[in-house]
Amino acid sequence: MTSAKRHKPGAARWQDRFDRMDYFDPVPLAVPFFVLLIVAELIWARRNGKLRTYESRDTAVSLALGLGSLFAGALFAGATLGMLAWAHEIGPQAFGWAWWTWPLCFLLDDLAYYWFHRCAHRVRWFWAAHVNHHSSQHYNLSTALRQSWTNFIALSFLFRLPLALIGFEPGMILTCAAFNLIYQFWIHTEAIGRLPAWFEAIMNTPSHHRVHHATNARYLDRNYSGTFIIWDRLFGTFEPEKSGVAMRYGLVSQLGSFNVLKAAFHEWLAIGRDMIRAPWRYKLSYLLREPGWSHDGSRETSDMIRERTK
Amino acid sequence: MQTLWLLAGVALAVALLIWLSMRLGFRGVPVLVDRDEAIAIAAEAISGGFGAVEAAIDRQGHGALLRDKDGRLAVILPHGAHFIARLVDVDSIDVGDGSKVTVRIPGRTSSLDLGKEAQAWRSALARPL
Ligand SMILES: [Zn+2]
Ligand SMILES: [Zn+2]
Repeated sequence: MTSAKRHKPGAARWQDRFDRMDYFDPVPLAVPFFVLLIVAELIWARRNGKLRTYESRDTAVSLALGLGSLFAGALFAGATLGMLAWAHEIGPQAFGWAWWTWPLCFLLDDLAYYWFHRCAHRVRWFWAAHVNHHSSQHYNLSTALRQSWTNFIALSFLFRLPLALIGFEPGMILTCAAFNLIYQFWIHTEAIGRLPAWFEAIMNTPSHHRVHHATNARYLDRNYSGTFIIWDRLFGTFEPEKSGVAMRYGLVSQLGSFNVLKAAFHEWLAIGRDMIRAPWRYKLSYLLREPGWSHDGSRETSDMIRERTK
Repeated sequence: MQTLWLLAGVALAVALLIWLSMRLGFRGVPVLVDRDEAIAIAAEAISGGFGAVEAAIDRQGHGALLRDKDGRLAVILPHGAHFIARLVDVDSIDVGDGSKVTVRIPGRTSSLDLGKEAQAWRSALARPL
């Protein structure tokens, strides 16, 4: 790898990038395909009598969350790019835009996504931003679009800073991240069972991601991967889908509301309530420990649920 | 400007998808098949588990009222095409003279028709533990 440091570009360089927001965002181009595939899945569900696959109010909430996340994304894109540009600037090298950096960037971004996603389930602060992706009791293509409004506020971009720091172009990182998100769309379906073994071994698939969304005790906090399932296999969080086990989707304690604002912000409010009530020495734990943790043991974490139902 | 058009287009597509899902009839209320299903849902969906010893299900299957051996009460209510389960206290449940039971959980008040079992629950709930 090249270690030639780009010639000193001047202090205003990253500020400049901040203003230009110069990166290719493929998500708008993917939207028509999202819509067509949801229509196809609706028809598939109707034809096959799977009338609990969709629920119109649930779909409305999912799509509203998706729409809102486009706004949030647009609002914070500049700042995210600015942070990445800053990290890129202080890093020891710049890889530039050579063709071979693209697959490498995508792969390492997928690794960064794995760790982001794992922390999003194990640290309540990040969970507060991610929970709305999981609060539907349905698992269909519209569920894929339940994206966070508060990712930036939760500082989720921190997980991508190392990529910029080691030398990948900020714009390339965001483009790869967007393609990763697009990949994850089609795996939110029950219409596809198992795919060929070689594919299931390497790639994240509907089967693997159903496990991630399931609340069955054995499936809790498993299969965090974005595009490649290899990370879960590598870091010991992989769980295969068992045939014959009925999947239950959503949250351990179901939200029970079709209010979009509630879906977007409820966990932040719950954290606030808990922190106000908790004794001083436990306040930070309500922010930083895993969801379900409580200082008096009155609630259950996913590990406790797994243990209880063994 | 381009962004605004894009968002308008996406908003239109969202409205279309919601309309289509309603049009295709994805608006059903779920039905509990029997007491065992109600007991299983409570056991799975309540934090810490719930070992129901008594359960009465709504006549149409649109929910259930349950009690465990320690006298804790739980309710199962439909939410969209699925169910939610919540622990409730005695004060959140009103049993009238007939078969109807009103249950209040945060954010909603629901009515269950427990048929003949309602009055048995009424006297059971009136007894201090
Ligand atoms: Zn997740
Ligand atoms: Zn998902």
